[in-house]
Amino acid sequence: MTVYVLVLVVYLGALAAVGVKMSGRSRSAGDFAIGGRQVGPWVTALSFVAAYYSSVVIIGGGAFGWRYGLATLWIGAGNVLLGTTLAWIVLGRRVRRMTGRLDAMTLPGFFAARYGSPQARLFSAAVTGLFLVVYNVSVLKGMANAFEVLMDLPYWAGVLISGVVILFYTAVGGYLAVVWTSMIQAIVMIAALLLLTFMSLQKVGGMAELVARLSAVDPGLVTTPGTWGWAGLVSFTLIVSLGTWGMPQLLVRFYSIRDDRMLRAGTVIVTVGASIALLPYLNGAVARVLVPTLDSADQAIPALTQLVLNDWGGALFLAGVVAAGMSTFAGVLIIIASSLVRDVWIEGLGRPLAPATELRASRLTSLAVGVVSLLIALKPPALVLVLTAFSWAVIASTNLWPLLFGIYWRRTSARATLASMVAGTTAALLWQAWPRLGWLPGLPPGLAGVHGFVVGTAVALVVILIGTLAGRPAPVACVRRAWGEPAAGDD
Amino acid sequence: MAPWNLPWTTFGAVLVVACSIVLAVVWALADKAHDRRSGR
Repeated sequence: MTVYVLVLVVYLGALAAVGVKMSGRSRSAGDFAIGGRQVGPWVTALSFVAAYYSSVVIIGGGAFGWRYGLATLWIGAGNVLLGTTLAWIVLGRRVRRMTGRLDAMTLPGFFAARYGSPQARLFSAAVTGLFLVVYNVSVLKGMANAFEVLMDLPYWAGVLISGVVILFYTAVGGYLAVVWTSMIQAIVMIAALLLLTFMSLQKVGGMAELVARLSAVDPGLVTTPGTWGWAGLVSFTLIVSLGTWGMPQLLVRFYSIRDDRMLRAGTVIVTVGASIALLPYLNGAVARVLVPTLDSADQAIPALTQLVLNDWGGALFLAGVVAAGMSTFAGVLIIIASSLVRDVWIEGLGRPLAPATELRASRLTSLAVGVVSLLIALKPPALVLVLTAFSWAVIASTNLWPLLFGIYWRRTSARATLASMVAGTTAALLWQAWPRLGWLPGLPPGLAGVHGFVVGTAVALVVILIGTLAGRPAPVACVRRAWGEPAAGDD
Repeated sequence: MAPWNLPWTTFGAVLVVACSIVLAVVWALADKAHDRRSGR
């Protein structure tokens, strides 16, 4: 236990120190929200990995690997190819340039400037803000569960320890503190996962032995789609991979990176870093062989850690899980705070703030949102736990197509964008709630495993396509500004 | 059978990750060359 405490105190102290150091570099709301668009490739890329993979991915990914076997490696592969490499190639450069030209610091702010639609800004800010708070509660819960299992601490103590440290460095140091601490957290997370994988494969006798022993338990644990089936595997892979294309806490990395050269280097670094996505699933499958009897699949990774790692390794792994959660939580806090201050207060309600006041307001808002998330996480109501299951689906259904169409298709209609946001959100929510609504007929077995993300994004795509083809394009001035062309009168 | 006696359908996940790294490197080089040609 002493080793755990020692490692955590040093680790959490280092994160707090980074927050204090970065506080001097956050001099404006732009610095607080996006680091003044001056962040380098290593910090951007590794902080993207840390924000992408939360503690939910490590513990939950292990649970999937334990339950469904090696077919779940495809979830990790989807995270790397679709969620990371293609996201950087397809979105990175255009999002960086357009948000710069439109002077947008948030995703809702981008929608308002690109489409000339304050309604799109408010809708996106409201849905994203609400569901990111819900998502944050699940991340805090994941960290507290790790403290519970690995350090035998009460749940509330885990919530408080992780929450307070994050709130401190986020409110004090802003985006720069978040990305720098996230880079450290990514390194800790990668080291922890590599150590666990090396030790657990050694314990089981190597990869070929793992495959043989899994086959002996159930051949479906080795084949694809195996025991899970296509509907579940494909839709889950899509949501946790393509979903990133609409997640503001990840997209903000493209606003803040310094230039195109950095973006190219970042694309290679982020792809290599993101490759660790395979490891939680692989370790979950190893746990199925080494610890076949568990009360809950969520215990697979903690139980494997206790079996194959000594105290120092266990402490490093706990630090890795906490790191994964903290970086995600902190990234989300910055997004919600900037969005509430800029999109809702200043632009939405038309209450301008002086630059120094805006910075102070962003800091206080991040603190307030963090405290609210922390209080909810101490005793999450049943509704919040239900909503966490589809927070990604709803956020992605709202933002994904308006962003993608907005950066590639000049003609995209403002009204179609708003309609797509509303329809996508409604469809994702309705689909997820369907089994709980007794007055609706049951879904056919083939469709029951399809995630709300697939339905929400499909509906949103149809609406934005038809609406744009049938409706009027966004105002020319907005389009020309986004594409970096002189205004019509300047020709 | 693929390495470690895995079915190819499952080993494909590992190949996809390896191909993603190759894709990132090739794209970065091609993009750099494109920028140089267009004088950026």
